[in-house]
Amino acid sequence: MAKPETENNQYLCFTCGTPPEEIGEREVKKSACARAKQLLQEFYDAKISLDTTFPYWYTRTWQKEEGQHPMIRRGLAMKSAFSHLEAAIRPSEILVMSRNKYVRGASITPWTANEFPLSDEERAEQDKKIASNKALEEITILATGGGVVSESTPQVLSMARRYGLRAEEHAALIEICRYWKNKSAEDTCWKWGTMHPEYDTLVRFKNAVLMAADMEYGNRHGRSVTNYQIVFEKGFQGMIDRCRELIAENVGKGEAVDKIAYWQGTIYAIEGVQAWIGKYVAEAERLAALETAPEQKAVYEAMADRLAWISKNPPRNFMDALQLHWTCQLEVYNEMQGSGFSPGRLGQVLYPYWKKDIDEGRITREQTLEVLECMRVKYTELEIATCAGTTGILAGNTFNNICLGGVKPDGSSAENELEYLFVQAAINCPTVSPTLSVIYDGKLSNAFLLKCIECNKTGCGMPAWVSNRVGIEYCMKNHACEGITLEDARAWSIGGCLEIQPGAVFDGKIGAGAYSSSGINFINVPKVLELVLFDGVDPRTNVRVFPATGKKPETFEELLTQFKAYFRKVIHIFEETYNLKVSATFELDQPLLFSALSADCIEKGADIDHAGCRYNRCFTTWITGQVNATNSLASIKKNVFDEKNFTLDELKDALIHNFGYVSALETRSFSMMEQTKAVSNPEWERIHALCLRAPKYGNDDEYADDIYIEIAKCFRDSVEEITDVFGNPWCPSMLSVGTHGPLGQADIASADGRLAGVTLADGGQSPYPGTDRNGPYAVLSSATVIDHTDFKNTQLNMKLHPASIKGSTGSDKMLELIRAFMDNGGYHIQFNVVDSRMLRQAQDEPQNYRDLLVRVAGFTQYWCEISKPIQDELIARTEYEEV
Amino acid sequence: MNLDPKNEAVLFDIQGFSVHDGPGGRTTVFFKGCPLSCYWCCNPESQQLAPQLMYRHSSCVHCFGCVGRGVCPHGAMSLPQSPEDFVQIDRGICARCPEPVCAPQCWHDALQAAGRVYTVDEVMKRLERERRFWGPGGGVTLSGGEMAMQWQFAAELLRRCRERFIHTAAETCSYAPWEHLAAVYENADFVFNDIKHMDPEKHRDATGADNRLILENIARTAQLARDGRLRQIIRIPVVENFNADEENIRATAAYLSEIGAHEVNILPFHRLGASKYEQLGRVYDCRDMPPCPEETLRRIKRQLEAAGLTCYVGSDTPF
Repeated sequence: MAKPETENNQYLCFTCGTPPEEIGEREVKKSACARAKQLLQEFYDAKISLDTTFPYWYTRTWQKEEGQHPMIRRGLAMKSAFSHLEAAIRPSEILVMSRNKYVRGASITPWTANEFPLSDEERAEQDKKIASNKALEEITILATGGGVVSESTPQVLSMARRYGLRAEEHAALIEICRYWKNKSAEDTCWKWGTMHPEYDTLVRFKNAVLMAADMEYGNRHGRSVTNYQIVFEKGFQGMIDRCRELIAENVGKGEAVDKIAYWQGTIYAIEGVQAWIGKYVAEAERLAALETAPEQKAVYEAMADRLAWISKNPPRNFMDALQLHWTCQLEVYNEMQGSGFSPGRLGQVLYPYWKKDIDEGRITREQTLEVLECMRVKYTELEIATCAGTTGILAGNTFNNICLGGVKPDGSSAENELEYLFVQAAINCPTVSPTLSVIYDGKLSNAFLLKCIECNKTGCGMPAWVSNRVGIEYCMKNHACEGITLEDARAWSIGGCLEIQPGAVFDGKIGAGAYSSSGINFINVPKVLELVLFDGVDPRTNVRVFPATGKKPETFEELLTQFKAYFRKVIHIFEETYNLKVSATFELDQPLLFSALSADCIEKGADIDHAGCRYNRCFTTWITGQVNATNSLASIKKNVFDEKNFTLDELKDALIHNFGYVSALETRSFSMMEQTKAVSNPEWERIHALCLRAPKYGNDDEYADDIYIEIAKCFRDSVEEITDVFGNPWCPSMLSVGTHGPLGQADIASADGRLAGVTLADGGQSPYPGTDRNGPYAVLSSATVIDHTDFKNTQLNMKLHPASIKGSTGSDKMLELIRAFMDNGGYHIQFNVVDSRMLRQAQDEPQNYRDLLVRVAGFTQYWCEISKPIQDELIARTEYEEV
Repeated sequence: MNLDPKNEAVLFDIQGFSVHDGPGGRTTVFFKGCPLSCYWCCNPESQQLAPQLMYRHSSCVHCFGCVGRGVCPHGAMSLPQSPEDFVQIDRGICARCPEPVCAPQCWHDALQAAGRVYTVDEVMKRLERERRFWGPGGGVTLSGGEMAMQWQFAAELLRRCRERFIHTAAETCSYAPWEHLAAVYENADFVFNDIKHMDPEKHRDATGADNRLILENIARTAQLARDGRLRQIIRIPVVENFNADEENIRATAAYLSEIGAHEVNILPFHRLGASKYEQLGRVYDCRDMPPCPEETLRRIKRQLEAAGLTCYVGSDTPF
């Protein structure tokens, strides 16, 4: 067939193959049930809104209970906050409850982070003292479309450039935030951080934007899996009773004081949740009484009965279980500021209830599908409120990841019929959340895998594909120091984006579970290389980060050695200071409810921050831009040292002058596809051409791939040299979420030819857009040069044109591609099945693409709720056509 | 260029994830050089055997550095009349140049070389790396251009592939001595044979060559297929106002039935190669020709099926 013509620009090739003349529609398009459609419309129309009820009552009670044991004080504050939440039920809902009265409601937790709602002046005072996120926030560009409230009106104030707040609530919110000054995790963690002898270095790191936002107070908990089996077995009342039993058993033990406080605090918190559910019971009863249509009346009555039952008891059936899981999901998001409290292998946890109902005729498959579609909208409504820096990273996603497939603890296939319906619900009603991931194992049936491919073909970006073998091997390696069992490893699931978490489900029994993946949120790897080239100075801000050495590398090996030394130092300082900083939060915002849903916290009498979980080796360091760093090093090696095409000084001169181009921060165009030249300087043009032409990662070229391996090994080893607060080594992890936007904006031009401010490579293993010129097989080859089991996650994104995988042979070929990648040791791959020209159109006419979904870096998002730097990167990602 | 014909060949690309040129995932090797010059050709850069210069106007920034720095050792480049115009390239001089050494010296990527010399080992290395991702049934497909122009290399490459248990396919216009094709077919699992027209005169007008040798070779290939030595797929590029008429299709179907060929894959004309003509400094005769209507394809399919043949349209194939 036709040898494809490639659409090239400046040595970059953004389409591999030739798209058909007409813009390609996605092949699979289905429609959701009436209720889900209505809920979806309400979602599209809703603005993201902050509610102050929860923080108001929490803070009020916290003040009142001063002097109590911290756990009791927190439990009582939590109880009060939950008890005061209002109930809101909409006619189309079957599953009910929301974080608060708004459709897209969020609330802040000022005991965690209290600064961002305050005025710039108030914050400035604080920023002077600490290594804040100010430098990052200044360059972070946020989305403005969809439900985002990016600008204030007289009635509604825009907070953190994303959330709307009713003007009349503002004064109260500010009052609350002021109370938490010097008490919140955000304020105290910096004080604790100063214990580090090199704290000043950390401040310089932050000012040079060597890292994205801090997790200690931005997003400390999450990237974990919630264990519903506990509440399914015992019910809320059973959990309270168990706490009471344990108190009675331990009250005679003098060393158990903290445990008793923990159990009692947990009881209070659960009681708060019960009261909150009670509000919904009353509301459902009120609506039932008012309703005249018999069918809808029955819906309300069933709802009231279900809620009343699950507020105390274990679920009787599938609908009870589904509602109870959702209630638990919400209580955790309300309790803590975090993201990625993933439902894990939900289809497998719910299956026994569903199977019984189906067999006994209590539910039909159609009814199941209806409620699962509605559930997708409920999940999508979930919002979390964080500062602009963290929002930039998360891109508004909550990372609720449901895993499908995998194996049971005995090694047999774990797929079940309910999971097919989970996939069908995503096909019918594609929404951003919950995202789906298939734990690929050779034991899964072809029918199941092809069902998943069908869902990929809707273009909603899910399911993502992850390797069971890598997941299990990772668990066995990473948690060997904690004596993990093979059964717990086989029961792994994804927490958050892609983080491997052991023991989430245990075949109908209470599984294990692990601590949150928490730690260093994305080190800016290209920035480390900038520091090497500019002898310790950040060339964008002129901040001196490391002392001058005055030495100029004579060989590539010298330069690489210096890069590794800086990289290691950066990793160490971040991890060491995190250990100190995060400890400040342990007596302040302990997760009581989340701990109650993690084995073995209640039995041990310890929350997850006090090592209550069975597996605790979870402190994680993530990196971004390692592919740009790889390509830059390859270019320097080739051009400066091997071929001597130009000197380091000449290169630096070209980089500082952005090769003669206008910075992306000025042009507001953040991919290499469209850039504007400011001056025409033949010498910079020559250097730029040679930089772009140098070997690039993603082409199965050892020249670049070997450097990638070096960086990955240096990263892995350096990360693991430091231990966390539980005494376990830290864990390395590679994915980018949304950080390749803001971190790229903080970087000057790089030796790979990338221009200043342009978004970095996404994911962990994705080639830089436009640089993968040898097709997908070469990408997969490069992506598997490292041992994926060394990392808590890795990530590869691929963009396919719908035509390339058309029909049933197309599906087979796509599945074979995935299988082959997994067989060769890959951990994760996900696909955007979309015509890039459609994305460009959507950028121009967002109003016509309100429902367009795309895959970013571990999550799916509405196109219009993605910031421009990431949109540009998505368009530029090399698209594979039919060849 | 002095090449070792068994070990070296001029290729213009190797592409992985080629999903429509045979079963499974495939890597396709594009040979340079073709004995035909079909007026609708979508790979015009494949026609000349030697590597050649392509000039992409869309990337040119009119810096004229190429002229200023004298990147062409033969003086084929000159300034245009106006600075908004493009560099003048004397394609006559270019055609005699064995290798476009000028291309890498354009800093804006507007000048590019189509084609370079590869060795069998080099291609094998790439195939061995990529085969890990083909999936079951996948393999290599030789395409072009016309692989039979460099038949010794093609035959050697497929021999090496079979030694390594790689599934092999070759796409050919069949305008080559039978011995050359036979040497390649020795180790081919799949063969794609093009039939452009049944009428010798019309064929000559459109492609520059008579169809007799082609039809003869296709018949011999059909015999190999009947002997179970390979699987033959006939491909018809459907070009309106040339070969899409009922009469020609009827004649084609009759011929195929006569020689005992079974499977036909019809490929609608498309204009995706248009920009490459511009880059080669040529005019594309088909630039305004509309894509082939669906109705024509359906009718041809009906005609072929009525004659007892199996017909696949475009990329909708069972392999």
